[in-house]
Amino acid sequence: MTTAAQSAVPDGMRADVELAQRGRSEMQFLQAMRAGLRPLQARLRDRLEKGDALAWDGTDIAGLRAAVDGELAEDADLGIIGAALRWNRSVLTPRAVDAFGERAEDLSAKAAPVDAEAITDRGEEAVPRYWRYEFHGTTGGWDGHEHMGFVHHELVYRYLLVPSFPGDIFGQRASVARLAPREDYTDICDLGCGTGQFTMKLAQTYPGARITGVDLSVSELRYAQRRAAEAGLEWDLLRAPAEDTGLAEGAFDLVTSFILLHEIPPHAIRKVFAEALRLLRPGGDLVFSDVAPYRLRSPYQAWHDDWDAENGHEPWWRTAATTDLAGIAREAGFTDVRQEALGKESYPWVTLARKPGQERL
Amino acid sequence: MPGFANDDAVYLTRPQHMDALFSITMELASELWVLRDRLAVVEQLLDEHGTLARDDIEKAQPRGEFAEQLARERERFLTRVFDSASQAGES
Repeated sequence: MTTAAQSAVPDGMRADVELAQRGRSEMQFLQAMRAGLRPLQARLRDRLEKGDALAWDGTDIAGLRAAVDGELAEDADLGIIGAALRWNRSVLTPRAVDAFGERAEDLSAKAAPVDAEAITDRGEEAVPRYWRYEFHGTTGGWDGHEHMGFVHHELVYRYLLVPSFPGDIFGQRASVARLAPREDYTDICDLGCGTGQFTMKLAQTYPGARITGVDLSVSELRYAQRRAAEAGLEWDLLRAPAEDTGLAEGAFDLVTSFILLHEIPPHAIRKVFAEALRLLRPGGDLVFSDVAPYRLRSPYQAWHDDWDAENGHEPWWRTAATTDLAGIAREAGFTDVRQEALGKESYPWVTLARKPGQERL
Repeated sequence: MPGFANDDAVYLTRPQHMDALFSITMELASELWVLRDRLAVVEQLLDEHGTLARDDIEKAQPRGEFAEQLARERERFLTRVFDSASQAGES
């Protein structure tokens, strides 16, 4: 059964990460909780779709929430789902950190950055207030552990996110990377790069490009550097907010982000578009992929997105899902703005735009 | 009467206590699963090798049919836990 050949692991993850029995089974329990809740969620959806609460014109999410939440006020299933998911989220990071700790001697060596000094850091004074929030209930935040980048990518994604979420998480990133309109980019900047999940797809899609990754998490950047090095790549990595990178004006011909915008408040989203325009050469392209607009979701899915965001430590999801990103792009000065839905229920939702001016060189 | 023996004390009276009890239940269920998994690994190792050392348990990485069997048992276990709570809410 047990210690024979290494098992297949999700795309882009290390095959040699093996947890001790407690850590492995605790992480698997958390994933099984998600699976165990599905019958309750299916019953709840069925009840809602047989009633009138989901009648919705796609515009007033607060009205939809009020109608459905009112319908479910006494619903035992929703209470159990909420309590179970809250407990699940509250223990997820601590469990993953403990699992890492059980195998720290082995895993620390696999998590260590190649050259931490090579990661440029704009310093604490550049860190915005919104960064202090523990997104997704990530205990301690994205830098709450020396190796949080490794813990998040290799343990949380592998044991919980990849098996729990529909669709091919890494295939979606590859699809968005391929959507950029040209094939010969030379300088790409990936804003909010994290551990480089999307950055890696950019590198694979545009092998001739020099790649810069920007993120606010030191530990995520360090593991991004490690992942790049193990793939034979070298990225320029910078700790800075996406809306104020300090990078040179006109240094890039493609600026990207993948699921960054729903983590930041609306004023920061506007600044990110402005910063992207500044970073691009004339004729350069922007590709930002993020959560699907509520108006393009089915009423049940829109209600579920919004309920889950409110109950799942996502303070800026609703604003991102109701903000006109195309309008913001035009206000920032972009042209050729278009938006594209790549998957079921309009996710990934991609905004593409071009900086006006002569074709980039 | 205040100051004398309270024979019918009730302590968990706030709505938050219900959520706290649910969290305790999840903690216990998680711990129960860790032990069930450990026992299953021990039994599997004994079936395969007839003997084992403590380190064998820690190094064991369930694969193939055994891993699938464990996954089915986990899901069945948690479906029963949540179903029982759901049915209690309907009564």
